[in-house]
Amino acid sequence: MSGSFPGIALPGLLLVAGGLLLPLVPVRLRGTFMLVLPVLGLLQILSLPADASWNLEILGLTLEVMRVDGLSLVFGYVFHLAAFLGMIFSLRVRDVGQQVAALVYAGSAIGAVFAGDLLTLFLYWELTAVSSVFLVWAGRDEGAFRAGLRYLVVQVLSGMLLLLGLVLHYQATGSMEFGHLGLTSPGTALIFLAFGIKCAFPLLHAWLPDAYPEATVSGAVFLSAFTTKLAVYALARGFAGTEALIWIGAFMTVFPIFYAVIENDLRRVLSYSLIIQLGFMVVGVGIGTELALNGTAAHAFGHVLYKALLFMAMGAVLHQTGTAKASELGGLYRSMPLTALFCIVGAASISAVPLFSGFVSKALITSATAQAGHHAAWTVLLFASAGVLHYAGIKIPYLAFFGRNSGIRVSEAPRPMLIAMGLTALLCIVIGVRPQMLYLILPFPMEYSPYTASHVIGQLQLLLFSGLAFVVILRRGWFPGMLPSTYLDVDWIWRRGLPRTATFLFRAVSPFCCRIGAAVGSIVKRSLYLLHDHFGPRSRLAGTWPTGSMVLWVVILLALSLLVSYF
Amino acid sequence: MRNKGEVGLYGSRGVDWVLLTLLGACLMVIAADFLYEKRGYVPWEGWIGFQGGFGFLSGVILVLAARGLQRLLRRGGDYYER
Repeated sequence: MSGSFPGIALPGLLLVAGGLLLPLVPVRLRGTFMLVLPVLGLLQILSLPADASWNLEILGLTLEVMRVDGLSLVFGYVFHLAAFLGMIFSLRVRDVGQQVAALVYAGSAIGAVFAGDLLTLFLYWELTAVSSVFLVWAGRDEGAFRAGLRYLVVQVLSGMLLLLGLVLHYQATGSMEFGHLGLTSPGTALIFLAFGIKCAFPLLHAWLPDAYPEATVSGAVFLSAFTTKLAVYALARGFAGTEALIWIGAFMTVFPIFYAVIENDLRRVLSYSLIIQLGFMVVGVGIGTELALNGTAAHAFGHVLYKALLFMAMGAVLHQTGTAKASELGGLYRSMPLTALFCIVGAASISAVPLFSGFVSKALITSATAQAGHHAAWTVLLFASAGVLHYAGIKIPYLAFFGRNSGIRVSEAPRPMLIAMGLTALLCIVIGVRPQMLYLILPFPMEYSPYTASHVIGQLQLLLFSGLAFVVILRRGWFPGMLPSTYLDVDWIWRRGLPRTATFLFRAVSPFCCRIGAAVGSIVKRSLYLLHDHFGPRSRLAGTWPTGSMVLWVVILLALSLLVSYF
Repeated sequence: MRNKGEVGLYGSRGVDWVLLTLLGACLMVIAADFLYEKRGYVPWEGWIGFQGGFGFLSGVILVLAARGLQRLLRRGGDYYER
């Protein structure tokens, strides 16, 4: 595509523009308007010719503001799908600010995956950060406001690193193209770090379990879909085959499991579990083969759906009961049987139970890891696969809907929420039963069947024995108690460690500061007195001098300047 | 020892039934390993019952480690507000 500026035809801009216009739409039409936008957006990218691109010349820079290929399309499809399902889920929301934020956020994430150059990517990258924070702030309490601020700082920092990285990269190469970058220069290293922050790399992850549970019921559904998957896309585009990513990803699949097992807030459990699933995708990017990248794209696709489903289910519970804390929930299957059913479908999908979506996408990554000879990483992924059953597969449905009877009696979730959950659950099952439908839209053509005897029986063994361990642990009374608690994470450094260190240093240094201040004050005071003595009203220089002596001094000064000019 | 307010997960009715069903299912999937030629790219992937044993051990180790970490990392619910 070339020639005239495509404007609104650029992927994502339809949703951004629609979001900005939403306050002008009559209230009774807003629901329809919000649902139509992602549908039109999806039709728009379906109608784009393969390998389409659009270049723009600005200030001597050639920007590829739109580039369509297999990788961008698969993310584009699922982002539109997530936006549509999220809009259905939030149809009962009457907060127009939240609706605008959700549409702009979804549109900017879609725009980013079709960006062909780093500057366009940066602009969309920042727009996702700024728009998404309103989904946290829409919680409208002190905790949400503070968590939103921390979230915004981290996201903007990621954007600044990306900007600095792209400037250095442009200086070094003279190219803005967003293709394979690799860890080859300081510029690309900064870009890698920027992507890593948004992808919740270990030690850079704390913003995610800090902010997502503070978001609104529907806000968390949108947040779970876009930011981190955009980062996965960016890593797959720029750093495929970077070996460091295998170990970063493997670590990501393990360390949050422990938090997910002990955490009481079930939306925070989902946030930690989100990092674990990102770890699988990052390993796929690190392996970098066609099968692995297909696995990353497929797992991102499936993950957007089942994670949204789980956030919807917990959001529905929060919406109906006012809490998502395991210590306050239990026995809700009586009141919310459909939500319980959809939650179980989400739990089965994330646990990679055969016939559910997680099984057919995770299989690609583990197979690619094994084929590439990374046996240790494969074993770590197997450990994470066994662990996922404990915290997401069993813990969430068990503690919310079964387990002890909390005595909470509420009505079932509102109809739009049930429809959204039902459709998402259906997609999770369809993908699991007919994986070739998903495999057909992956970036690289492949022949792969996840339903081999070895794979199905191996996975069933892993899950059933892991489930057996869970039951034995319950019988032994070893399962960690669910208590209203805060668990220390890396964010302790800036939420508690740094402020305390600063206070301590201030207190330690202040006596010295006082002494230095007194000494400086004394010097200033003396200088002022000295000046006053010489230039004050009673000083010698302030007196009335005779005209003759003034002329004499002028002559002396002129003579001195003459002498100086000669030498 | 359980703390006040802790969820009573322990000794829930019906767990014995679940345990027996799971044990039966586990035995069946182990037996299924003998019905086909088990191969894999990773050497230990081909061992009979490997995924089962690994899954069980992983589950137990995971929960025990999480219990230890819980003691280490747990603070009051209002820790950051104080």
